[in-house]
Amino acid sequence: MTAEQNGAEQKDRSPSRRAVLRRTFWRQTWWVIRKELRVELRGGETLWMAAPFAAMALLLAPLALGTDTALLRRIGPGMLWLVVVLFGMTVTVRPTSIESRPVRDLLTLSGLDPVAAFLGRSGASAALLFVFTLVLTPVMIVLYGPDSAPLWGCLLWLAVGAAVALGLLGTLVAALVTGLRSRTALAPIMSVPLAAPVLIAVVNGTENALNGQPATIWLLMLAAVDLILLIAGVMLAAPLDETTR
Amino acid sequence: MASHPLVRFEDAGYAAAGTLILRGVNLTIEPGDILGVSGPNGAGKTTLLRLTATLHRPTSGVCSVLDADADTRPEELAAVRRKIAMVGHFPAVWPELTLRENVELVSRLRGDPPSEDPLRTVGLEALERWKASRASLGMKRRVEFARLLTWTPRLLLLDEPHAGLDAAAAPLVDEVVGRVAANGGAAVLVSHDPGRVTPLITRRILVSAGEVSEEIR
Repeated sequence: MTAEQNGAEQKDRSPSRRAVLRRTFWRQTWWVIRKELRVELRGGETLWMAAPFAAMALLLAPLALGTDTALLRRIGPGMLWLVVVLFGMTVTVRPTSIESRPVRDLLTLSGLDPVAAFLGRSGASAALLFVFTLVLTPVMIVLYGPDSAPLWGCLLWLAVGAAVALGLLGTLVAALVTGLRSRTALAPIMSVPLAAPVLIAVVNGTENALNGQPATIWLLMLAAVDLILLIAGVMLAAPLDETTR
Repeated sequence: MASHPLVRFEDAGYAAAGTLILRGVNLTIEPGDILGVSGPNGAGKTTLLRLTATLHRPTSGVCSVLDADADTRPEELAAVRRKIAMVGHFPAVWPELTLRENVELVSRLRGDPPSEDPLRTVGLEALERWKASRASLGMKRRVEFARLLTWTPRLLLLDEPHAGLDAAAAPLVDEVVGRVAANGGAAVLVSHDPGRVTPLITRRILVSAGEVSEEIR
């Protein structure tokens, strides 16, 4: 290696260079989130299509079960999160979040870090799912009448944890099925079983919180799932980006 | 002294899904080259362009682009890719974003410094709030050229550059290609219509049935 190359190598690894790369990374992540949310708000797939259907699904169970209020109270949290997982997955694998090949090429040649793209898309999906959950929770409370005195702070953290987990999971699955002809069918089939740990943690946690009991153990489980999905997504983002091209 | 080639193919080939698309490609592209690529449909022109853009890796032989090859680390490859621009056959736009947002997003992701309004240069200033889904093919192509006005790539790859552009917009191709060559870069222009690109190019190759041959001009 020549002295010039050595110098260039050292320059590449200098703290200032690393700081620039970090800033670039977070700037790219932020612009991907902005783009995803802007596209979604204009297309309206989540709030205007999935949310009304999800609310209808919540409404149908009490109609089918009749006036057994004790049963409704018991199944309320489970119904809420089942609906969020099922409809939420269609939000995270929404067609507008899957880029066309020319756009993917453009993003690659723009120097978009695949990890920044993954985090940006996951962040946008998590934000959409959080809003989605906030819209549906009052519907569930009105229709299923769970016991009063809930721990609102705990419910909020559960909603955040679940939204992050489902956002990461949906983005990861969408990246896995990119380029496949049957991706729209494959994505929910792959993601819903993988969402089982999230569903277990968040349903049990919500039951506790609605009954005024702490849900620390379930919050920790959600945090662990979030972390595992984050690590998997960060590690797989670049290889998936290359192999699905 | 011979200049260092920007692109070097050595007996390179590319196969996908068991089909050999390109074979035995030997080609160098030097700084200042403006290479015309012609050939019939399905000959492998777009694949050659994608290999040159590092979007595909050769399945045999060597393909070195701006000194990046199969052994290049991902972070170094990303840096090389930032020096390459490609305008493909289909416009790369987000339909839900406005024409201005389509230009701005790529500029922000690249981290380019603010420049003169490129939409004004391509004649789309008045339509900047139009969603790309409303825009015609020609407008989308102008958006793609507007992006190229905010920076100068080292390697410019254009697939059917004049497609969809009217006579008033056609000089955009000349401008971006000329700027790249003047800055020591190179351009590759794929076209079914050699007559449109002949005034621009310095060399021409023919791609036929997966094989590349240099044409003597």
